[in-house]
Amino acid sequence: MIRDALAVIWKECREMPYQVGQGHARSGWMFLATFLLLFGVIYPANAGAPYLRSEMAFLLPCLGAVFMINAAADSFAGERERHTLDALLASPLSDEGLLLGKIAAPMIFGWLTALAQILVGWISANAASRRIAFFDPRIFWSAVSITLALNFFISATCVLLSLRAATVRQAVQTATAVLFALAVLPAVVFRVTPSIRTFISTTPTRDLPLAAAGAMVVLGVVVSVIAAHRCRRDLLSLL
Amino acid sequence: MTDAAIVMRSATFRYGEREALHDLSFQVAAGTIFSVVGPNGAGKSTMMKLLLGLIQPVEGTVQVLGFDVSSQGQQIRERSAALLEHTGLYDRLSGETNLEFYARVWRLPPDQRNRRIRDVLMHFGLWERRRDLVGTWSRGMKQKLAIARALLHEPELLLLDEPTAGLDPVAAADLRQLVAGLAERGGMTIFMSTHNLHEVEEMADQVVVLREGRIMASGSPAEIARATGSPRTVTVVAAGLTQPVVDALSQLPEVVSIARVSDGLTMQIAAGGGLSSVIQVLTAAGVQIHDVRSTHSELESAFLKLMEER
Repeated sequence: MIRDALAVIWKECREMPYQVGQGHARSGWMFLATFLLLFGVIYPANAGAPYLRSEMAFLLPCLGAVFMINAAADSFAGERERHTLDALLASPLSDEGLLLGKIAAPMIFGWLTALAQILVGWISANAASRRIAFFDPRIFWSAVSITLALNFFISATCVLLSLRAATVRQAVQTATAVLFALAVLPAVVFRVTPSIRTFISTTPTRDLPLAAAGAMVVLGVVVSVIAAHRCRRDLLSLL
Repeated sequence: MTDAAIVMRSATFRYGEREALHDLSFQVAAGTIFSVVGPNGAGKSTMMKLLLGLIQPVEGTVQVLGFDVSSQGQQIRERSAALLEHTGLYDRLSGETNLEFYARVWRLPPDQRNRRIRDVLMHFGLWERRRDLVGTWSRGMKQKLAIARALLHEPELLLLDEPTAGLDPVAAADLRQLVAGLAERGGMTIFMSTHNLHEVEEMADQVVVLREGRIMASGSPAEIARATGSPRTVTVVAAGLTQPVVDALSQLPEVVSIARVSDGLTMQIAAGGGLSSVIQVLTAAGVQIHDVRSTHSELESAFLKLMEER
């Protein structure tokens, strides 16, 4: 299974710029370059050394995960739309390896983009303040863990929705709507559920990013299990 | 490898309520070219999916290379390759990257991978274009690359769905020659679905005629033609034809009907009948033969007759 997943990741990474750019590699690279310029160079450079201790240092890298919606939603719907899915299903790739590779590729790419933003942001903030300082360790580990968890959750959700979507456009639209609803949901739950409100207000602020990352990992695992249940050759080849 | 590469026994498959394949039974001998012909919607693509273990029969059994499609699809896919309706190539990747991906999928060891990729690209004359994106290639080149991909892991069984559809005559002839060579020299079993009956007549050892998921006829192309008793249409372009010659031809047992046209004759020749007596009569009468054309092949006539039957 792992070998199958690695083969899929190898291929997906070569197609990733096209997927991020919705069919145009140049657009994909432009999106990523613009993201790094705005949130990796301009914002940290303007903020200077305080950036390294602010919550923005772990919130900004999370924005890159938005690009992975296109990439992950393209996973199965794109193969179906471009008539490459049948050949893939006719190969000896295992169902589990195929799914794992499809989820892991955008997750890894998205996380590496976030890590690149963290690195560029650190260099820019230091260059602007003309001294060398490191991130507040709590901020740094929050950024590393929450971006990994977020990219995993988004990839798993979009791949699940892509399994049955007829076109990439349909998969992207459904994924965007679902993720938007899930992003709004915690705020609603927080307002209407006193126990959660109490839990969040009593949890130390420093632990919240890690708690959020943990919640996303749990949700990502649940979504992945559902996707594994639905990623069956007979169902995919009949669509 | 077993003697029979494919054994289908009373296999039935349904899409929901609709029966796509009904009670199919046939065998394909290893190392032969087997063809399935039928109109659109006959169930040819469904049969391909069944043979690859992508779908399972609701009744009956199907064995491919000695493995059961219902429980051993993975083993079948490891030993076979398929070129389905679409080439399944990634247009955004180069020819070489497409092959490297599938070499990884087929778990070729790293040292063999590059050698096999180079070998097949050289064999198909695609080496010079290997770094170009496949999206920029012609249809014929893509089809060759798809075959190259299928041959990377040297499969025992090759499934081809309309392999020459959309190819120009030269590319189609090249492909036919290649496929024939794979079975003849490589001992590979070829299972091919096609609309091109001339192709089947030229290449296939055995044929199954499928209509609405049912087998209408099976056997060698000549056997099918004989069994259905279908005459073929032959046109002779000639100068110096006279009525007595036409009358003499109409007396021949193999000539079912005959009609004069502006530049010669059109005849219906009985199934299995040759043209030697016809040529003999014409040359003896001093007729100058410019051309002899078979408008419908025997198999084509048989096929059309089978499609008309209710």
